[in-house]
Amino acid sequence: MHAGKLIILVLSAVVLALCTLCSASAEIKPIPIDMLEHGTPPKAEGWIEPGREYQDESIHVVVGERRNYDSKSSDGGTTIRWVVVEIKDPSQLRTALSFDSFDIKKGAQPEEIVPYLNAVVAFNDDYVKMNNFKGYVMRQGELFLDNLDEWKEGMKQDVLVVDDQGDLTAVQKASSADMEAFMTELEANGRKAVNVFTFGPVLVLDGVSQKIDRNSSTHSLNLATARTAFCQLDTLKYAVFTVDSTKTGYGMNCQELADYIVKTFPECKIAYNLDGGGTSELWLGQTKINKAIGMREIPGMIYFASAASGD
Amino acid sequence: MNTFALVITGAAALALTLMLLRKRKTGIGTGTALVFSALAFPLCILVGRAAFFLCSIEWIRNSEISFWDFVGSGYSYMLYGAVLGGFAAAFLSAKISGQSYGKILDAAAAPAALLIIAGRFAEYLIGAGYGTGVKTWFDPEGEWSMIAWENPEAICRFPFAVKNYYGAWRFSINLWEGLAAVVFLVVLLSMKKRKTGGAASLLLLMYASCQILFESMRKDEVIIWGFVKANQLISALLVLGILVFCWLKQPREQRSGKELGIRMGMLLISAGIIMLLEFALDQKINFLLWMRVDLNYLVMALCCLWMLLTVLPVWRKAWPGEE
Repeated sequence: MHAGKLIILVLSAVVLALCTLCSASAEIKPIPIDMLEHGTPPKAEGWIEPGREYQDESIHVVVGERRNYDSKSSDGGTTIRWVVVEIKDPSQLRTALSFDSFDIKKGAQPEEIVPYLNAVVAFNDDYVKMNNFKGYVMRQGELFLDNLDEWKEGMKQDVLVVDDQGDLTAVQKASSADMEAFMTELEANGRKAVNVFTFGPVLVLDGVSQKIDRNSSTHSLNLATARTAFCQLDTLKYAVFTVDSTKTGYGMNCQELADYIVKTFPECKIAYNLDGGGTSELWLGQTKINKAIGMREIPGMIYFASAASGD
Repeated sequence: MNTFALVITGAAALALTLMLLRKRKTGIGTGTALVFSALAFPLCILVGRAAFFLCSIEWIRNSEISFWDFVGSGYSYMLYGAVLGGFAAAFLSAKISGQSYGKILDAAAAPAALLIIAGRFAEYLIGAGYGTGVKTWFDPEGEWSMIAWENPEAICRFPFAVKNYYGAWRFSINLWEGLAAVVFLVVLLSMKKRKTGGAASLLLLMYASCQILFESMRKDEVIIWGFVKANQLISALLVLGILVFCWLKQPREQRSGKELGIRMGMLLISAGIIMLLEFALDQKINFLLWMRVDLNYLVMALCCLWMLLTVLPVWRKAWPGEE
């Protein structure tokens, strides 16, 4: 063999080895289910456009917004923001309770929780600690509360289940028996629930905006206010919507939000209304990007973390 | 025994010493002081814990913990419950010693203020008594303070602030509560001798007036009824109750229904303004959206002072100084 050919062969082998190494360094590490595990901090070079887009090996986030949107229920124009999040591993969709505890009923300031979580995207959850011990509460695989039957028949809540494959499923107007049956079926399909939220209602199902019954909940569904909604668009692809409210009477009601989500993402599989008003929070990295009147402490957050190895 | 319990026990010993040192002025015998202290210490703890348990309505309904388990757990207490415990101890020791119930309460007022000081400062040890985040408060892009302070490191330290679970510095509201109690103690120690019940009612009046503001500023775990903090509501009702009590304590010929009506109206207006300010803190009042939180608290403090000053003249008439 000619020396030149040998050199080319060796160089090719080196390049191949380097490529293999590089792909190994971009490996995704599933994040342990424990609430105290938070994923790796977002990489500085991952911010393609600060405040608009982030990408690393494990997560891609893009922010969209519609300013000065006039909804019928609002006294004036409002801003709707959404983030589309694609992740590589279901463990990147996570939750945290304030003070990492369900027993400590006090909330925490979002600006304290977010840096602690290393979140790429973080947003508020349901009324988890403030619901007078009603609801079905599961966080990071741990069941804290199963008490859905205290709500009267007409006032039962829609429950959102996030399973270990990262899929969102709603159990509408759920009772504790409904949840038990659902969990059994889920396990029969080889899956298990990781996070369960009790708030709602379901806004969108299989691309169809749901008819919101304003009297079916105490959550002021017909009120124009700040809102947060969590959507699944595809496998491991999600959207989080927030509606701004800079004054009382400004924002959107749930029906308007449901219709807007379908208009924006006709492929939306499911959209679920979370706590709104002064609790509405949407953070990109360590910056709050929505605007809601009220400077409340919140009982917990849902967040997307990076699972890039960081090498 | 944990450090908090040690501090409170030490403060209780100091309070007893103070009570004994002032026995000539208060007219309470050593035996009565000892009986009262022996009863007050367990009763204040027991009733303080019981009040917290009973006022946490959801806790009762949903917690599997029994009342006695809770009392023994040392989880938390309610100061107004401890006050009731103190009243019960005074009542029992009056029955035992034959001394006046009101005299015992008056003798216990300054020591109680001393205990409040110790309790508030000891909250540093148990991570309680904190308020808003210091950096959040002064954030130039935030909506909390009229003063923008980019780097408030100078006050991110003990005793002005405490670090919470997330490593963030939070204002120590317990510091201000403790300092207010120091003022109560100085006032009680320096006040001239008044008719029986004067010192105890003055301490309650001062404490309740200030606590309306402090409860609003505290962000730690407190009992909430609906959207109202239990201690804030109790404080406001107590100020109103003290006004009526003071009015009733006046000699019949000096009582004026008109004066009571006017003063009650003034209290209700102040309470109404405070309620409005509470909603404004949550930015629910559009016409008050311009109002920063520090200005809000300043107005609330003035309302609390106004409430105190509204009741004080009636208190003076009810418990005139003795020659």
